This record gives sequence, structure tokens and C-alpha cells, in this order.
Amino acid sequence: MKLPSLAGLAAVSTMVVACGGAPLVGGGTSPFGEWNDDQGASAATLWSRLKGAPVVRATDVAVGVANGKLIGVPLDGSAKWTTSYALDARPVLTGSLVVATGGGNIVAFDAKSGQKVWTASSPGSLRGAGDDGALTAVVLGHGKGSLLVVVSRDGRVVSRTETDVSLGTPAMLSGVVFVPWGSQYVSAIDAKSGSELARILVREKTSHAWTAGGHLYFGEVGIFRFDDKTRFASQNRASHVTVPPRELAGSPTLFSAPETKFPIIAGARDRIRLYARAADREGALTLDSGRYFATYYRLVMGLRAERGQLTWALARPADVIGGVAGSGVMAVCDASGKVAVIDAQSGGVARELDAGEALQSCVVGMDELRVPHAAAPPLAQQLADVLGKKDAELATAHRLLLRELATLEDEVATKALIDLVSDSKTPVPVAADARTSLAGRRNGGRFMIEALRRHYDFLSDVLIPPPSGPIAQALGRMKEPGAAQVLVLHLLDPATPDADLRHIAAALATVARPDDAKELRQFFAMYHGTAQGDDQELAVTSIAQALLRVGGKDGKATVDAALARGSMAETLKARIQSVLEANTHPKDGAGDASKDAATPKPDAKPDAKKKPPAK
Amino acid sequence: MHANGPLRRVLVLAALLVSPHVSADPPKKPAPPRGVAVTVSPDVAKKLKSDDPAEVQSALDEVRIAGPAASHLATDIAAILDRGASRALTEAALETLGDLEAESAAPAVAHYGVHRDVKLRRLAMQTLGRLRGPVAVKALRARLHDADGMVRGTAASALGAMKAKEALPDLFIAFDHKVAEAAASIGQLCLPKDCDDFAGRLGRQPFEVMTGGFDQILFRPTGEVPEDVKVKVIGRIRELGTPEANKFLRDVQKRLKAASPRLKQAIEQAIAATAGGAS
Repeated sequence: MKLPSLAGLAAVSTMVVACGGAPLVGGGTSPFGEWNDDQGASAATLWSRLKGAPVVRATDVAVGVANGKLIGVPLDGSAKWTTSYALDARPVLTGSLVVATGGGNIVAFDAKSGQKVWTASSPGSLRGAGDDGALTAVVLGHGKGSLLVVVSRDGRVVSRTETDVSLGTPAMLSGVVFVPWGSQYVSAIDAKSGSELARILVREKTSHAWTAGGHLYFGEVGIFRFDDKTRFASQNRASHVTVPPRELAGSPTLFSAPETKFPIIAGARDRIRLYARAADREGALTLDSGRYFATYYRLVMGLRAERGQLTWALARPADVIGGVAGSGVMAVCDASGKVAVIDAQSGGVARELDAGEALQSCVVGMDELRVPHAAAPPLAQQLADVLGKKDAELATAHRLLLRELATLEDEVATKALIDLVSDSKTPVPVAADARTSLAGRRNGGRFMIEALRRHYDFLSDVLIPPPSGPIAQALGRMKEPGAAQVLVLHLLDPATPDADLRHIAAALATVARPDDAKELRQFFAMYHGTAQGDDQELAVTSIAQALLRVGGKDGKATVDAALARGSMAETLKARIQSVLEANTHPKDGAGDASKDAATPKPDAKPDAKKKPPAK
Repeated sequence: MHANGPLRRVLVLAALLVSPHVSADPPKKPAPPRGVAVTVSPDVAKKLKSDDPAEVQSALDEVRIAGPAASHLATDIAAILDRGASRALTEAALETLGDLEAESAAPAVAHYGVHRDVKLRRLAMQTLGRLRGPVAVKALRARLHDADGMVRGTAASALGAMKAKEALPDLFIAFDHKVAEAAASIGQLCLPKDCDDFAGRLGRQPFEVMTGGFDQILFRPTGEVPEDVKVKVIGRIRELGTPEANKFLRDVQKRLKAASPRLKQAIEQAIAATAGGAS
């Protein structure tokens, strides 16, 4: 076949643009020119032709780049391979090939063995490749435009097309190259002639084409499947699926923007990614396993396809720099060279593999790999494990995961929150969020009480008191039996921070028992005349409330006597008087200080007009 | 020897305990009129129970002037602490109880050992150190665990001054946690084996901190600390061979008048051996 010359192609391209509006597809003409929307006619014709064509399967392998070496790690656990090549861009996995560029050549290696399959001379740096088992389409960045080169298995360049437009990542199906461009087009190019057979117009940013699970897909924000509905793409009725919008650390996307080059060394965008695999469910396009996946540096998360709810999370030993979603499984490759095959449903690691050395970048292919179900602990435990790994880089993700943890009705979540707050290495913003979440818990009382059994102890090197304030808030609302016994000890512990003290006292106003009256009286005696600051005054007020509730006649006498003495600050006196009044005339008639309606707010502003009690 | 860092703190605290009226914020004890036998007025007990803070304060002043002669009022003063008072009255009550040295008031004072106001906590430690008794010892031992260094130090010093031997294990832990004041107390309380354990920490703890304990050990009667132990301690100090060791030994030599010839000889030899490093 005679190849169109570069100069000739450029002239044709110019001519096409100059003509404007001429129908240039379907009849097999030069690609990437002006085009009138054919309402899906050429796409329908192409689908008729390619329907049932075999789609090449990807080799299940992770290929890492490490200082001039390519290291292949087969995901089935078979022996890894290594080959050296002076790369100028990150390699690409397509079908059974690893395609790379360097030294003015394109080179293809067998993905299973690392053996060189072919070499072809061409300028440009690798942007993407697609393979149909016989031919390989390679898109190269070239100057301000792109080169589309099709190479046969013997290294012969079958066609070479140069264009001013920026082409995306191609895919191949039975001799036809599908290449996205201009953010909204996918041109179907005859691999041998270089002519455009069809053009698909989509109403969503599209820059990548690929094959997986026997189908050809394209997209960027979402995923379109090439099928009988593709002809309706311009009317937004093509087979399409996308990930639901939800907050994720670093705002990851499924694909990098098409303009992005693929440097050898993985960057932040490679570390913060989404992965998803489309699947068919009764004719509708959906996400495989009902899951998609997000990475954020070392973290890997499984999310529900419907609304993005977190279903699992795990932390890898190093930053995840590559990955792929398979069928019922996903695989990630990290910067330390470790590769994990993960159960899509549970987040359990089904297989751990190792490239043997640190990697600069990594690409992973997977199509047919199946692994047995891998069990994983409950989500709350997974989150606890992840949050337990202190890493300043993960602080943003940790705050997000913390919010997820707080929503779980699992006692383990409560324990994890306590551990986070109690750990001096927890970043301050994460600890602050954890305190807030802990205060809102309604389960895990036994963990809270256990935590409260710990006190500051200089000689035992316990230098951080437990988060008694938020725990008290939770226990108070839960009315946890046994809470008062431990709370009173923190009430009398000088190491309890003032900010926590007021919450402990407020909880005791609700949960204190008659048995606690002695400690309550001791606190009230020590502080009604010496309280300093709002927190301490609020605490004294709450304890007055507790004494009135559980202290019997002695309790009331203690409060009355303190009011009669001239040792109390006016603000505190007014607060306690308001408690006394509410206790005498409960609004709801119940007299139960624990009821919000009947309980005066201890932080009520003192009424200056109120008279102090007569001495 | 320069008193700086932990040593200075030890000396300050020691002074506080020897003379409780000397402190960073010294309690102001009213001075009794000269040549007049001090008694308290008949209604002082009633005043101590008054709801009027001024009356209570005046009664406390009266009791302090009277001193131990008014110790029968300790229960009434402890009651002030039990029912609670203003900060000023609380301080005055604690100081007065310290002056009365009435062990019966220890439970009331001990409560203030956990007060959130660190100054009140320190004052309670000082007072407990003067009240003595098992309640005081228990409260002081507990405050060795306190978050405040001065509270820990005051408690450690008080335990030594009170001869609270049962607190020795706690004092060792405190000393290993850099509660420098525990050194002197260990020196005051140690049995021969404990004294040896203490001396074994030389090299791990700053010498200036260790000297507080050595001083006590070397000056304790031979009935409490046998001469062998003292000679061994001097030997350990000699091994240091530093100018500080030499200076300390010379200082001990000056003050240790009634030592046995053997001990004197050990000191002389140690001074000679460490003289090379002396300035």
C-alpha cells in the first residue's frame, strides 16, 4: 500500500478545512477535517461491519519503569521479566503488547515475556496505543500536532497520518483505529488506508479509547461503549456510564486530560486517580461489580457505583502510581514496586506481587484475570487501620475518611475515633474533626468508658488525657450505665482540660447517681468560690444541677449554703440561681434535669436584675 | 558550686519546706505582738463558721498569730475547705493549717491537691508536708504523677522531709522521670541498698542533681547509713574525676566535722584523686 506522504497529508488536511462542510466520512477520506454531523449514519454503518468482530484481550500484567528498565509483573503470579530500553515516555499496555518510544523508534514488547516484538522508526513521543492483535495504532505527540502510526506485527509501518489536531489515546478493532480528538469526536480510521470511515460526536469530553472485556470504549469524564446505540451519541443516547459525583480528596478523574504528556516519572495525577471498568447488565452499561475505585497517594478506596458510598479503604506501603479495574477485581501498583490484586467488592487483597525495586511509573493491564474472593475486615476496622497510619500527606483524605467513619453504626468506629484523638501524632485538623465526630457517637459506650479509665500520669508516661469532653457529650446523650463512675474521676482530675470539664459536668447533670454525690459535693465546694473562666463556671453550674438531682436534701443544702456565702462570683451565682428556679418550677412538670425542656441551660446569661438570695 | 537549673529548683523547694513562709508567693503570716502571750478570742470559732468572708479572714489571721496554741481550731478551719470558699480564703485556710501542723486537717487539705489552680495545688502540697500522717503521704505520693513540675517537686521534697519511707519506690520512679527534687528525698530515706541504687545512677543523671541525694546520704547518722555505704558513694564520686566532683567533695570535707577517720581518709583521697580536674 502506498503511504500518504506527510507533506501530501498536510496539503489534504488544509484543503479539507478550506472546503468546509463537505461530507468527508463514510466514503473513506482524510480524517480530522471539517465535518457535517451525519446523525450517526457512518457510526451505524461501521457498527454493522464490526459487530461481532473479535476484541483483543489485554494481558494481565503490571509493567513498571525503573531507571531505564521495564519490569513486567504478571498478575497471575508467574515469573516477572525485565528488559532495558532508553525510554523517552511512559510505556503503554495494549492487548498483548507493551508499546514504548525512545531514540526515534517505537518498540513493542510482549507483555507476558518482555521479548521485543517489533521496532519501527518514527519521531514523536508516545501518547497512546491500541492493538487488534495484528496491527498496532500508535499516537505520538509531534510538534504542536500528532502522528498516528499503524504498525504491523513485523514492524512495518502500514500507515502514517500527521495532523495538526491533538489526538487522544487510540483503540483498535478489526483493522479500524478509533481515535478521539477535539474533546468531542471519535474518528474511526481505516488502519491501512488512513481514511476516516466514521465519526462519532459525543456530548461529553472524550480523549481516550480502549478495549476491555470484549468491547471497545471511549470517554474521559464517563465511558461510552461502541455498540448499536453509538449512532445516537450526538443526541446523548449512546450507551454510557459514569461515576457519580462525590467529594474525594484531590478531585480525581478517570483519565488525564489529552494534552497531558505521559512522562516517565509518575506525578500527582497518577497518584490521585479514579479507576472503573464498564460492564453490561441486561443490555445497559454499568460499572463492573457495582464499584469504582479512587486512589490518593497511598490510599485505595472502593466506592459504590450508584451514589459513590465508600465500601472499603486500604493503605498501600507507598504511593499508588498505576492501576486498572478488572472484572470483579482491581489491581494497583505502588512506587515501592509492590503490586496488589484487590477484591473489588470487599477490598481484600487477593494477591500481593513485587517488582523487586522502586518504580518511577507503572502501567497495569487486566482483562481476564479472576481471583477468589478475598475477605477483608468490616469497613469501620478498615478505616481505623487507614486512619491509624500517620502521614501528613494523607491529612486531606483522612479528614474525608473520618467523616465516613463517623457515619458508620459500628462500635469499632467509636474506638477508632477515640484512638485518633488520643494519639499525639494525629494531625491537628484530623484530631479536631475526630473530637467532633466522637461527641456525636451513639454507640461504643464500653470503649468510651475504657478510654476514660485512663488519666494523665506523668510517671507512667501517659501525657495526653483521654478526650473526656467529647466522650462525656456522647455518654450523656446515650445515658450509658457506668458512665458517671468514670466521669466523676475526670471531673476531679486537674489534668482534665477546661474545655472538656464543662462537658463532663454537663453529662453528670444527666447521668450522675446518688452514689456520686460525695464527689459532686467535693467539686462544688472546691470551685464555687474559685472557678475561673466560663468553662469552669459552667461546670460548677452543671454540678449544682447534678447535686439538686441526686444529692437529696444535703445536695440542695450544699448549693443553698454556697449561694448564701459571699464567696461566689456574681455571674456564677446568677447561673446557679437560674438552675435552682428551674428545679423548683420545672416547665414540663417532670422535674427531670435531663430533659432539655426542663433543664435550664447552664450557659444562660446571668440576669443582672435578679436579686441574690438573702443571707 | 553554682545553683542553676534543676538544682536551683531543688534548693528553692527545700527552702520552702524548711521555712514554709519563704516561697515565690510567700504566705503573709501576721506578726504576733512582742512580749504578749498569744491567745485567740472566744468567738474565733464562731467567726470561722461565718458566711461573711471578712469575718473568716480576720479569724484566720488571729489563729495564725496564735500558732500551735490554736491547734484545737484546725477542725473548724478544715471545715472552711470542706465547704469551699473564695480563692483568698482558701489560700489563707491552707496556710493557717500548715502553721497549726494538725494532722487531722490532712483529708480536707488533700482535696486541694487536685485543685485545677496550680498555685492552690502547690500550696496544698506544702501544707501536707507540714501536716504529716498517712493521709498526707498518700496525697503527696499521688501528686508525684501531677502534670505540673513544681507540684511534683514539692510533693517529692515533702515526702523526704516527712521521712515517708514507703514512698521510696515512687521517688525513684520520679527521679528517673527527671523530678530532680526526688534526689534529696531519696538521700533522706534510702536504706543501704537503696542508697547504692541511687549512687548507681551517677553518670546517667546530671551530677548537680545527684549531689542533693549524696549530701543527704553522707550527712545521715551512721546508724541509718553505714560507713561502708558512704565510702562506696565517695568512691563513685571519685571515679567521676571531674572538677565538679572535686568541688563537691571539698565542700563535704569542710562541713563533715564528726566523720570517722576512715570516712575522712576516703574523702581526702577522693579529693586528691580528682584534683587534676579542679580549677
